[in-house]
Amino acid sequence: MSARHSSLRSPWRDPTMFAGVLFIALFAASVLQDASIVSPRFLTGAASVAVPLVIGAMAVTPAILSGGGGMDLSVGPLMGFVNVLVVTALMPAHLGDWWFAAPLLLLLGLAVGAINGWLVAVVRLQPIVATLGTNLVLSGANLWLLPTPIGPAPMWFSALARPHFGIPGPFAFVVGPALIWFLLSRSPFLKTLLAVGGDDRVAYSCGVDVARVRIIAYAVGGLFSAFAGLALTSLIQSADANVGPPFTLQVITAAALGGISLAGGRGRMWGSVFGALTLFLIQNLMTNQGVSVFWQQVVFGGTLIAALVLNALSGMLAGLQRAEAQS
Amino acid sequence: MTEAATMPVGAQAPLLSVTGVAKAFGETKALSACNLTLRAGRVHAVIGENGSGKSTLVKVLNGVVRPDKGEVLLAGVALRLSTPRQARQAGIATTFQEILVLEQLSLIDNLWLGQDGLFRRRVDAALRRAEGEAVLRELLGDALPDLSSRVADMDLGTRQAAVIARSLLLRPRLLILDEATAALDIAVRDRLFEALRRRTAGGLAVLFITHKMDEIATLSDEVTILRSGESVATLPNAEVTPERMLALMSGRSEPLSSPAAPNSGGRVALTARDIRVSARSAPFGLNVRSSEVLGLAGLEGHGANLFAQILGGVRAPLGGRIEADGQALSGANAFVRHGVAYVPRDRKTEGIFAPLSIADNFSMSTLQRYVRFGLLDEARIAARRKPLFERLGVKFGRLSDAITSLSGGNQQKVILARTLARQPKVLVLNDPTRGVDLATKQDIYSLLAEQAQANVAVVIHSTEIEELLALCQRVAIFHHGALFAVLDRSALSRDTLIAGLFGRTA
Repeated sequence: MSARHSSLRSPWRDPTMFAGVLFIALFAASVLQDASIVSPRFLTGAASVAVPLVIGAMAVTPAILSGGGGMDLSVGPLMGFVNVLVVTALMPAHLGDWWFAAPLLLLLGLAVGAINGWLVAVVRLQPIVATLGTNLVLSGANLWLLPTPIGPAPMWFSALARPHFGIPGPFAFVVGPALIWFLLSRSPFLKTLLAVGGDDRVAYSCGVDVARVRIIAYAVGGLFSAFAGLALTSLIQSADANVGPPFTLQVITAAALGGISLAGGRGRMWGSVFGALTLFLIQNLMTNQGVSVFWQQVVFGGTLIAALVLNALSGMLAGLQRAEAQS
Repeated sequence: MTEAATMPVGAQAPLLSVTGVAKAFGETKALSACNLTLRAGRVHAVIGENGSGKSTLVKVLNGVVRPDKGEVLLAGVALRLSTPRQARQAGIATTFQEILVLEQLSLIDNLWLGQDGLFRRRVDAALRRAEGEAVLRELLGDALPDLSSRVADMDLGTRQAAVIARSLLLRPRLLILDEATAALDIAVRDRLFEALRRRTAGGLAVLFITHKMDEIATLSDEVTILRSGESVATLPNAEVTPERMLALMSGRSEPLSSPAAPNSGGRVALTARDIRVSARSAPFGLNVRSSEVLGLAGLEGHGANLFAQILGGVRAPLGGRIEADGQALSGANAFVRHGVAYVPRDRKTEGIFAPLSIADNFSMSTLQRYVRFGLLDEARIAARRKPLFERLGVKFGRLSDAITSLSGGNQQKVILARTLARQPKVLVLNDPTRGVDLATKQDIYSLLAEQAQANVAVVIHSTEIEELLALCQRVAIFHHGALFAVLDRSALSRDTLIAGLFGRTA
C-alpha cells in the first residue's frame, strides 16, 4: 500500500510537483534562449517584477484552501490600497518611515482580510460575492484617494529594490509571508485549514471551530496582500490606483496553475509560488520574443486550461489505480 | 451486575439522564417526549423506525441541536451544549452513521482531527502514532493500513473503523455510536464489541443506535425503543426479542417474514463472463435470471460490492464482460438501454441530488419520458409518481421539500421509486437497506419479491445475513475478489453462508 502510494507522487499525479516541473522547464527554456538571464543584474530586476505576483498568489491561497467556495477577489485592490496609502496618507503626514509604515499597513491588510473572513464565516456570504464587494470598495477608494498616479514613494522602497549582499532586495518582502506560512504549516493550523476546506461538516462535528479557522485564513490572505502591496510599491517606486486591481485575476490564475483546488482543502503553498513564477516566465519569454501583450493573455488562459485538463486526466488515472488497489 | 464491585463510588447514579426532551423542526415533531437513563459501564441500545427521533436524540447529545423542552443531565449536571466541540469537552464522543472522514488527509490526521488547538499541538507526534495504532489494531487486528497514507486510498470498512477509533481516542465518558457499524465486516465488528466491553468495564457508557437485532442481543444491557419521537419502552436485554421490538417500534406485531416465493428463475437476463474485479483475482462467470432474487455476499473488500457495481453498469470490470441478449455491454448507457437499473450504496454521495426537491429527485432519471411538445408535463410525472410513492409508503411533507428533509429510509424509498419508474428488466441494488429501519426493510423486501414475481431479475448485494436468507433464491458468495460459491435455496442456511464468507465450505 505504501509503495503504491509513493508511486502516485509523480509530477503527473501531484499538481504541486507538476507546477514545479513546468516552472523548471520554462526556466530552462528561458536560459537556452538568453543565457544572461542567470546574471545577478537580471535576477534582481526579474525578482522585483515577479515578487508582487508571487506574494499575491500566496495571499489568495489560504482563502481558496478554506473551502466552501473559498475565494479572495480583494487581493489586487488591497495591494493597490497599500500602495496608494503610502503616498497619499502616510508620506504627507511624515509617517512614511519603514518602521512605522510597514507594520501599520500590514495590520491594515490583516484587518481587511479579517473583515472578508467575518463576512464569509459569520455572516455567511458567498466568498466570491463578499470579496467582490471588498474588491469594489477598495478599488473605488483607491481612485478617490488618487485619481492620477503620483510619485515618488518613500526612499526605503527604492533601497529595497537594489540588491544587498548579492541578494535581490525585493526578496525581503517574501521573507515575511514565507516565514509566517512556514510556522503555520508546522502548527496544527494548516492541517485544520485543509480539514475545514476538505469537508467543513466533518471538521465541525469533530469539534473544529470552523468559523474561526476561516476568519484566520482570510486574515492571513489580507496580511499577505499587504506584503504584496509593499513589494509592488518598491517595484513601481510611485503610487497608482490602477496598478493593483489587475493582479486579482492573475493571482487566481497562478494559484490554479499551482494545483490549488478551487473546491478547497487541496494544494500546497509551493504550488501557488511556482504557478506565479511560471506565469512570470511565460510573460518574460514572450516579451523577449516580441509577442504582443494581448497574445500573452491568450497564452495565460491557454496554459491554465491545459494545466487543469492535465490535472483532471491524472486525477482520473490515479482514481482508477486506487480502485484497483482497493479491490 | 458483577462490574458494580469495581465501579467507583457514585457511579450508581446515572451518567446520562434524558427527561422529557422535545424538539420540533417547523411543523415536524422530531422528538416529543424522550426519556432514558444510562449508567456508567453500561451499553444502552436505542432502536426505532426511521423518523422515530433517534438521529435528533443523537444531535441533541452532540450539541448540533438544542432541545425545545426537557432536561439532559450528565453525571447529575445539566448539560447545555451548543456545538459538537462543547460535547467533546464534556466527555461525549459521537460516531455518526455517515462516515465523516477527510479523504485528502492521512489516516493518522483523521484519527486525531479536532484534538489540537488551532496553533498548539496537544498530543505529540510519537504518542499520536502509538495510540492511534493501538486503537486501530484493537479494531482491525493485524491488517493495519499505513497510518500515513491518505484515507482516499482506503475502503469503506477501514474508514468506518477509523471514525470509531477517532471517538475512542477521545477517551470519552459517554460514547454514542449512531448506526456506526454498517460498513464493518463481521470480524471487525466483533473486535469492536470486544473493545467496547473492555472500556465499559472501566466505566465507559455507550449509547448504541442500531437497526440490527443481533448487535443488540450481543452487546447491549438494555434497549430503549423510540416511536414517533417518544420513548415507548426500555427493556433489559433478557426480555428482548425481535418480534417484541418490532411490535413496540411500529405498533405492528407480525414477525420478520420471508416474502420470498420459491421462484425457479426465468430466462437469462445478464451474463457475466470471465469477470475479474481486481488485478489479482481469478476470473469467474455468473448468470442473472429474470424472476429471481440473486444475492451477492462477501466480507467488505472481497469483491461483492465491486461486482454489484459492475452488474449495475457503473464500474468497468478489469477483465471479462457483461452480456445481455448475446451482446457485450460497454458503457453505462448500454446498461440503461438494456433495462439495467442500479441503486447505489452510498445514498448521500451517489443516490440523491441533495439540493433538489423530493419531486425532482423522483423524476430526474426518467425526465425524457414526461416530455410533451418539448416541455415537461407535470401531470405525467405525477401519474407515474403517485402509485409508486403509495406502493412504497413514502412519508413526506410537501413534494417541493428538499430530499434531505426526509429520513434516510424515506430517501431510499424515493430512490427506489425513481429506479422503478424506469421499469427495469434487471434491478441491481447495492446494500439497499443500509441504515434503514425494520419496517422500511420489510417494505423493501416485499417490493423486491413483487418485482421478481413480475419477471424482473433482482440482484441484491447485502451485508446482512438475515436479509440474504429471507430474500434470495440464490446467493453468490465472494471471497478474495473471486466467486467462491453459489448457494441455491436448498443449500442456503446461516451456517453455509457464514462459512462461505470466510472461504470455507460448511
